[in-house]
Amino acid sequence: MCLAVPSKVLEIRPGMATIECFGARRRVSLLLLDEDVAVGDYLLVRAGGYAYERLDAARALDILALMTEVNARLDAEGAA
Amino acid sequence: MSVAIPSTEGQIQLNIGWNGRRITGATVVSTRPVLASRVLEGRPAQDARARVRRLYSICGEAQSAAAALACDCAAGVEPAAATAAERACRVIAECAQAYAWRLMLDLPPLLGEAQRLQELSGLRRRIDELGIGHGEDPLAGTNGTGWLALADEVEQFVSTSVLGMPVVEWKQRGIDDWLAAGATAAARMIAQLAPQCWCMSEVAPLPWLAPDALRADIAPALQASDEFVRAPVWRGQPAETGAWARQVQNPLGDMAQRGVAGRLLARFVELAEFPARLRALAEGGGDSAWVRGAQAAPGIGIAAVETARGTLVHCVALEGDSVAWWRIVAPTEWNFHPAGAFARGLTGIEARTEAGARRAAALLAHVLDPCVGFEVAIEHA
Repeated sequence: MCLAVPSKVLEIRPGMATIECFGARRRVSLLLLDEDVAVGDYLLVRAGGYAYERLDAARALDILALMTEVNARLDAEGAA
Repeated sequence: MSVAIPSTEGQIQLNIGWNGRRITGATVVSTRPVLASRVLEGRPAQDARARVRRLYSICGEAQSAAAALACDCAAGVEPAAATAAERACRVIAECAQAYAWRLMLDLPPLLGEAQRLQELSGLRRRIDELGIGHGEDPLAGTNGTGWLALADEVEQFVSTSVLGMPVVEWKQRGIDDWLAAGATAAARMIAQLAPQCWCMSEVAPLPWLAPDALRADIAPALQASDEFVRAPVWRGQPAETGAWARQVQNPLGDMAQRGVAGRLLARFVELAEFPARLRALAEGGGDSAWVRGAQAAPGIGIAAVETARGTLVHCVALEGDSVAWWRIVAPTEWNFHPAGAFARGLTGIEARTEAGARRAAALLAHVLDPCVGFEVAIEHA
């Protein structure tokens, strides 16, 4: 719920980026961002496929580590 | 546009039964990680609160406020008036942004209007510059000047981009007259929805959960079973939450009779009220309607925060300063309950084509506004 997984930018096209997190790739729009985005940046993406925030790598990796912990805990408990 | 939603975020699968003429029913299958809050357990309360902010970023202000207040209540701490006011300001501002998102980005393609990306981007940037949605410690004290600037920003957005006139004038003019004029995209989108004869009367609105109700009804239900997190009920029945549930008794708008259009109109009614509420908070007034909590028992606190999508609840059990147990009920689980507003709102709706059935499902899903992606599948009945 309300989770936005930081996703790493793999490729950039005009107004669009291909991003990846936890093995899932998707294309998202960059049209809501005011700042430039580069390959290797991390983005937060809202349902509907629009990136709405660029994160610095340290913060992104911190959040990803926390979400990895979430996944591991839920997998271990067999919860959804 | 989006493919392969990360499993961590989860999504909702909406399976729509269609017999070639009407929608015969709908089922909801959710992979949302509703028990992700378990990662907060066993942590010091302060660390758990920081984790909430990092995990739940989409409605970060509301999640942070609910987490903080639930912990305060568990510890028997009464928040300072300034802290309570700041939490309310932040939650209202976040709600305004969320409404703007739906109004300018998600709904226009479904209702014959153009998306307004630059307007939305500009609004988000200006609200962002006022400090909403950022910071590791969002509870850094009030900023009266900043909150007044925020109120001005929201009022500018509402009067210019939504209503097409000053708020006072809009209220005086009357909703029906405003709709008939069709001078703004907002009015035209509601007019598009109005002919949809979805009375949506089978699921009652979730009432405003007072602190006593949180203490006596919601907290015990959460403690009794994790099923309540997945499929919450009020007095044993699914309930609809969101702007419409909050505003259905408001004499402005007559929203009880407007069906699905009323769900969108209710957001505009709330937007029209936000500037005055923000100014009152900035000037030292209290506003506990949208952020409230209670101590359910020594060491157990529960908080409810209103969001764009509806009522968000956090319930926390502390042992000393450590989190023993934490549960979160999001608005999505109310509205997308297996027998809730979405599942029952489409049954019987006329749809002459499969595309029409899909559009109806997408419209209702957007109006009920889950905070995750959804996929619509048509099942021929």
